[in-house]
Amino acid sequence: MTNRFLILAYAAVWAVLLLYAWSLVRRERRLEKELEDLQGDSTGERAGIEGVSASGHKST
Amino acid sequence: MHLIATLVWVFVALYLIFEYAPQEVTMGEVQRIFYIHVPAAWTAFLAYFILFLASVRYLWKRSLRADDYAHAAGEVGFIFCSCVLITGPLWAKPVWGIWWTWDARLTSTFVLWLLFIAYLMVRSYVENPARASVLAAVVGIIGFVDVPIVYMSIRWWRTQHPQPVIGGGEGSGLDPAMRLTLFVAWGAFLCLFSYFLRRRLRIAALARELRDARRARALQPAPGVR
Repeated sequence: MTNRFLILAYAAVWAVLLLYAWSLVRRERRLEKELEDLQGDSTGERAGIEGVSASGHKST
Repeated sequence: MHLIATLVWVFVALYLIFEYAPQEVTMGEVQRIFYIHVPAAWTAFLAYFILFLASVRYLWKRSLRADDYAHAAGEVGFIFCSCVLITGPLWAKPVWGIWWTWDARLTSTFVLWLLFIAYLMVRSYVENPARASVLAAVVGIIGFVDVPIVYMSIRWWRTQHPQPVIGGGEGSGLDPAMRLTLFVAWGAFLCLFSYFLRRRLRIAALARELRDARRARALQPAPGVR
């Protein structure tokens, strides 16, 4: 009977800690991806602008 | 490497808790909740202490790094304080016959948990980031008053919660094997705490980088505009 409480306590604590670890990893990955996307977009736009100013035409 | 060291420490702690530490005479097996309940509480205190110091530093120096530390410690501290409030009632029910009572120790710990929530809510709901940091720092500093109250409550008042077994004066104390197990378990919790704190600081750094990149992008002239 008392072992049930012991098991519940340990299971609950590890569940909370694992869920938190998972949420940290997920948030970190999402931010990294957003940053990569943003940097990718900026690079693409800059390349586009440079293409226009160098030749007077839009680069293909 | 940090994660591997943490996991090794956790497994050593679990081995000591379930194989090495002797069974307590009156409570039996359920007393082993002690080895996660107490270290989680000490870790939550440490988190709030870091939150407090970092908040003071932020208000004094306007250091963004200090602000990141305060935010990270607040979030991780909330997790460990939640562990205390989960394991406490699960230990209380078989031993006291009740899940909860509003005695000084339990109530002040619950207030600490609410303070962590208040701190995180201020950070989430105030839209201006600089204003959120200042307000949160003020909440963090004022709330720190509760930490010594939680710690001293079982010394100052008669409570349902047992008297301290570490640093409790005459008549208190722990079996050496139990003491060793407790401190190894706390070591495991500290490893987890520092691992979470590092990951959370990395998230704060990434979020700031993203915000700066978005701002820089918004300030760039549109293509074709001089």
